[in-house]
Amino acid sequence: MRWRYFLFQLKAFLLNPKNIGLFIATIIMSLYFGLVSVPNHEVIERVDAKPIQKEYIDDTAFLKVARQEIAYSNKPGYFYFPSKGAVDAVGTYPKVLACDKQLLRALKKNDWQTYTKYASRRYQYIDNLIHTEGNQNFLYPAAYNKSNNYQQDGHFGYQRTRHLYNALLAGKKNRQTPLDKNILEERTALQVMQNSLSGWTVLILVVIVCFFTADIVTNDRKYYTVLENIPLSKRTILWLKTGVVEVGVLLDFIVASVIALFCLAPRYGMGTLRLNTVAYLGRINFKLIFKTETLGMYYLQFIIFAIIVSFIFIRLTILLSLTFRNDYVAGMLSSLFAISAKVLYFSFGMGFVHPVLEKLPMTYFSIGDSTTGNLAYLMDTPGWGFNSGLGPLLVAMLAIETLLFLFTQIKSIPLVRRGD
Amino acid sequence: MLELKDVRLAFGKNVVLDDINLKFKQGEIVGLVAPNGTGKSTLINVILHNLTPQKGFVEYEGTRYQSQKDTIKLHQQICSFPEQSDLFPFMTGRDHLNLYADLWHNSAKPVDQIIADLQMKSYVDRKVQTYSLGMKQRLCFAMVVAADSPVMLLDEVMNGLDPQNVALISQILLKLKEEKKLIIMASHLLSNLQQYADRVLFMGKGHIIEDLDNKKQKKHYLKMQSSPEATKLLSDYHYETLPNNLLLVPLAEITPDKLTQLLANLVKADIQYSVERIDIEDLFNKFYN
Repeated sequence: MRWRYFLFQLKAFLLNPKNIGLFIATIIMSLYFGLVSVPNHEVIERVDAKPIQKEYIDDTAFLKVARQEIAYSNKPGYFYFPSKGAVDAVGTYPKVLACDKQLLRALKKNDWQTYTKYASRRYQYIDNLIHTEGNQNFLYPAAYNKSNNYQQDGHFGYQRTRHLYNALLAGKKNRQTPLDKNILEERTALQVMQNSLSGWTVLILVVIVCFFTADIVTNDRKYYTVLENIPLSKRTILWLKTGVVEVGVLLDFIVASVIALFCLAPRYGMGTLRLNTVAYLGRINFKLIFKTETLGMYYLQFIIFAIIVSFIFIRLTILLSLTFRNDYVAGMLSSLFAISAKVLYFSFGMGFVHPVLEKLPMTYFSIGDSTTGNLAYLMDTPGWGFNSGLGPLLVAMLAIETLLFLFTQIKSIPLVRRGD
Repeated sequence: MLELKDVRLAFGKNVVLDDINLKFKQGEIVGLVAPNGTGKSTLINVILHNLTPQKGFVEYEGTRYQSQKDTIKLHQQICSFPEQSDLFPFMTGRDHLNLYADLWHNSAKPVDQIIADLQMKSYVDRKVQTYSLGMKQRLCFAMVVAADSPVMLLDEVMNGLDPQNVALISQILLKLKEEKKLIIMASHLLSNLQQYADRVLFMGKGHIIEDLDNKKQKKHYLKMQSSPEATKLLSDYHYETLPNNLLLVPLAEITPDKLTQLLANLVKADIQYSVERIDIEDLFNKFYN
C-alpha cells in the first residue's frame, strides 16, 4: 500500500519541471567538469621528462662551475671564499642529479616503479633542504602557494606527493595495483573525482539537494483533495517523501558521476578502487603525517558522509517547509545553512581556530575537505576527519528528527493546508 | 454504523452544524440537500475529520477520531471524492486509480474492471491534462470506487456530467449499495437523488430540517399550480403552498367522498392536477423558498 504511493510520488518528482531543470543543470556541470575543467587543470607535480632533463643539464652545468669555484678557493696561496650557492650546490646537487638521472632513465623505460621510488626520495630530500635547512638553491613550485603561506603550503604539497608516491608503491607491491603517468599525476577518473569532490563542488551539490526537496511537501497543496485523506500517517508520508528525494538525488548524482567518468576515463583511464591514496593527519612536523588508505576505503567514507549529509538536508528542508509553509524560503534557508561554514570561516583561511568548530556539523558539509585531511591542514590541528565528523553530523540528524517527530505528532499542524 | 453525536461546529459566530445527531447504516445511499453554503461540505469534512467539531464526535464501528492511529484507521474505511481540479495533470487516469486502489487496499476488484464498468478504457492511459471535465469527474468517481471503502463520501459527483454519464454513475451507485456500501452524497441534482437515495437529509440553519425516508415515503399528494380558482376550491381543505406556487393537498386527510367531489370540481374548473408522492424538488422548494 505504500509502494504505489512511493512510485506515484517518485513519478511526480521526476516530472516536476523544477527538478528536470536541476537534473539538466547537474548534467551540464558534470560535462563542463569532464570536458573543460579537468583537461585544463594544471598538475603541479607533472611526470614529464622535459623539465627534469632541463633541470639536469642546468644543474650539472651549475655544479661544474660550483666545483671549479670550490677548487679555485682551495688552491694554495689563494685567499678566496666560495659563494654560498656554490657550497650548497656541491653539497646537494650530486644527490638530486643522481635522482634525476634515475628518473630520466625510468621514464625512458616506462619503469614507473623506479620512477616513483626516486621521485619520492627526491621530494623528501628537496623538501628537507628547503623546509628544514633553509637552502635557497631550491624552491617549491609557486602553484602550491594558495593562502599566501608559501613555505608551509609548499612543504605540505611536497610531503603529500612523497607520501602518495610511497603509498602507490606499497599498493603496487602488496596488491599489484598498476602505476603509470596518469596515476602518478592523479589524473585517472577515480582520482580526479576524489580530489574534486570537496569545497564548493560538494556544497553546490548539497544546495541542489535542498532545492530538490524544497517543494516535495508543499507541492501537495496543488493536489489537495486527492491526497488530503489518504490512510497514511504524517510520519509515513514524510518518510516516503524522503525516500523519493533520496532516490531522485541518487539518480541525479549517479548520472552526473557516470557522465564525468565517461568524459575522463577514455583520456586518462578509470583508475581502480584498489589504488592507494593518502589523507593528512594534521601533524605536519610529526613522523606520521599522512595515513594511507585505498581509494575504495576513501570512497566508502565519502559515501557514508554523503548519505548522512544529504539525509540531513532533505529532512531539514522538509522541516523548514513545514515551518515556513513556503518552498522557496525552505530551499534558501537550508542552502544558506549548507554554505554557512564555507562562507563564515573557511573562506577567511584561518589557521588554528577554537576547537568548537570541530564540533559543528556545518564544518563537515563539504565532505571531501574533511575526508582528504585538507580541513585538518587548513585548521592546523589533527582531527576534522571522518571520525570527528560523524558525531556532530549524527547529533544534527537527531535534532532534526526530534523536531520533525514533534511536528508530526501535533494534530493541529497538517502537512499542507489548502490556503498555504 | 456511522454516527454523528451532538456535533457542533461554528466559524466565529456562524454556527454551521448545531448539535447534529445522525446515524447511517451500511447499504444505504443518503443524499445531502441544501442550498450552497448551508453546511453540506462542512458535514462531509467533519465526517473526514478535516474539520474538528467544537462539541460532539464522529464514530464509525466503535472508533472515534482520538489519535492519529484512529484517524488512519477511519480513513481506511472512509474515502471521499476528490475535486477534479486537484488531479495530477501529468499523470494518467490509471496512475490515479492504481494509487487509490493500492493505498486503501480494500478490494480484490481489479482496476481494469472499474475502468470497463465506467467506460474509461479509451482515455484512461492518457495524461489527465488532456481530459474533458466529464472525463475528470468520472475519474474522480472511479478513484473512490477503486478505494472500495465501506463508506464513500461524494460531494457533487454528478457535476459536469451529461445524462448518459449520470445514468452510468447512478447504475454503479446502486451496485455499490448492493455491496453494502454506505454512500453519503451532497448533490444539487435532485431528480437523480429521487431515483436512488434511500434517505435525503435537508440541512438548514445548522440543523437537519428534514430526514426524509425516500423509499418508505407513502404519502400521496394532490398537486396543482396555484391560482385564485384553485385556492377558492381548496378553501375547505388543508393544503400547503410551495414557493414555486405549487399547491399540495395531502390525500390522507381527505375522505374518499370529498376527494371525488374535489376532483370533479377541478375538472369542471379546467384546473390541471396530478396525484403523486411529494418529491425532493418540492421539498427543496418548500424548505429553502
